[in-house]
Amino acid sequence: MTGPTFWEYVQQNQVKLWTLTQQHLVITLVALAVGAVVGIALGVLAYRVRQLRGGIIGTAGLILTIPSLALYALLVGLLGLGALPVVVALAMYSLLPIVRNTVAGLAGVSPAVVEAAQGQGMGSWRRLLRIQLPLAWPVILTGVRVSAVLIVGIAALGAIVNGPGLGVLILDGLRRVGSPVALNMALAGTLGVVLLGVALDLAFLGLGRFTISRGLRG
Amino acid sequence: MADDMIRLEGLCKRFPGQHAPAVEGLSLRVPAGRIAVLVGPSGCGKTTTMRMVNRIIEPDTGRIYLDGQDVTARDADQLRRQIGYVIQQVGLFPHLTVAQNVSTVPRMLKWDKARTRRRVDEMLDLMGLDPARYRDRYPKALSGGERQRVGVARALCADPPVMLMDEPFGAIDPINRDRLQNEFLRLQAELRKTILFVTHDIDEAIKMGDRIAILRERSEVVQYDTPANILAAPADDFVRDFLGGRRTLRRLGLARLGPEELRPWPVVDQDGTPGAALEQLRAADVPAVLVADRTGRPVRWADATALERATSLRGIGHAVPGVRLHAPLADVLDALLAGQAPGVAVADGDGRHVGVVDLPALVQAAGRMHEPSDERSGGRGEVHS
Repeated sequence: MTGPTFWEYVQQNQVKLWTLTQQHLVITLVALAVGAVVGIALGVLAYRVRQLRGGIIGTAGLILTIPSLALYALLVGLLGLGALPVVVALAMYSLLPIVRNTVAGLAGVSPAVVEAAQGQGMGSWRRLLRIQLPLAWPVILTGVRVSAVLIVGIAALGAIVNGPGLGVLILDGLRRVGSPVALNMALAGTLGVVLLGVALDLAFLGLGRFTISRGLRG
Repeated sequence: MADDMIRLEGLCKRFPGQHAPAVEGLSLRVPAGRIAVLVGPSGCGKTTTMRMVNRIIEPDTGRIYLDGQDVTARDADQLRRQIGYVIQQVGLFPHLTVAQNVSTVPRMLKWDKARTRRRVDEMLDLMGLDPARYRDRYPKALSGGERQRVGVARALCADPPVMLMDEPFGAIDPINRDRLQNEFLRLQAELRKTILFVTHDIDEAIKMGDRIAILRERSEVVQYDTPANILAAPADDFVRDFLGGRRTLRRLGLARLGPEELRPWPVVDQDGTPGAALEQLRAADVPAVLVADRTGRPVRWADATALERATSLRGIGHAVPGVRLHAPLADVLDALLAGQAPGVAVADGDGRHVGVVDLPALVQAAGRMHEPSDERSGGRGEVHS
């Protein structure tokens, strides 16, 4: 017996595919937001306290070496099934590029600019928020963009702990290997993740145009 | 003295991990409205000393007084908002516009928007930058000289009584540096800020300073005096070496042409006869007479040979070199040598002819420079050529 073609499958399951894509996007963005806030904070800390720098960057790197399957399994023990362990795992994976680029971005700010800010009477927090972070922002944003593309793929695996998103299709496809729709499902899920990754990449590129000062653009 | 705007007493600083202190027991007073230049070889601690005034570097011991008040323990950020700060690399904020850069301190002081905007435009005007053209530009679209002007405007914007300038013109090419220095001196003649100025260039120190502190290692003040006095009487061999050669010639750049150097000189009208002019020349016993145009301004030199051959005084002899009263003696010498004339015609501030200075008078004036004076002759109020 022959099943529907891939295109027929997509047309028949439009609503479901669209819903899963939206879920996938939302869970990625939520995790990314958490990762960005924590990552930038850790990056600032690592930049300011030299003694902590190696430890923070090393730990963020270590997290990336944990197989995602294992991390999901560990987090389920703590947080139960569903979206929560997925968000936490993805946020953890997103840290390394963000932390690293925050440190690199801050280190790239001209010392003369920072000294001038200090000399005008800007306190250290004002200096950080008004001068250093805005100047480091193009580099930090690149880190966030790399993380987005990185975790959009890992998010697909969240389905094994009952997480939402396109991973559900891939997992279902795996379960039904041999049935006519199995390949279509896996293909639709995979293709969706890839397209989402490309879309996110472009979206962050566009975000740079709005959030990077004209004075810093080429 | 109550007139001292900046008073440093016994400042010491030793950086961790360094054996010798960077600054050891420095004391210095800068009178209100004056420029004091810290000059010395690199590594002598001059920049460290300057940074202790706005406490970017905290002194280990010693006290800092601004306008009679001890500010050694004041909140550093509040203090810095009252001290203009200009550094060699300028350090404009590249992500902010010129207007936002200039208004940095007023915005922290929470000035209202209209006042801040007015002040920014006023500052840009003062620095010779058209506000309409420059206000909304970003630093990357400015030349080196324009950046430095914006840097000075930023430092001056909240009208601080005191300015710290660390090699502010050091990264500018020589021609623009000279222009910026002159502009700044003109500005200072109006603003009368109290300025601590750091440079390693003794010529810049002589040009910019009302007083110069010559420093050696550990910020030890070897000599603190007016440029003229330091050039006239270096305290020791270190200062003499540091000043380098041609000290007398350089002093000619500092001393000003006073009315006492002028001598009367026969001036004849261009419509007169060569014969009458020749008689005046012989009567006054001078090598040449001045020929004036219809407005009475001397325009030509005519010597006896020229007068004997001429039928009219118009266009006779050579053009007259001219300088203004209070011009640096170096400029007078230059005009004298370049003009190949027996003297230089001197005009007052309104352009009226007041007399002639010749080589013997100049030599006499140079001789008078050897007596040390309290302040530089002519003063800073004068706008030079």
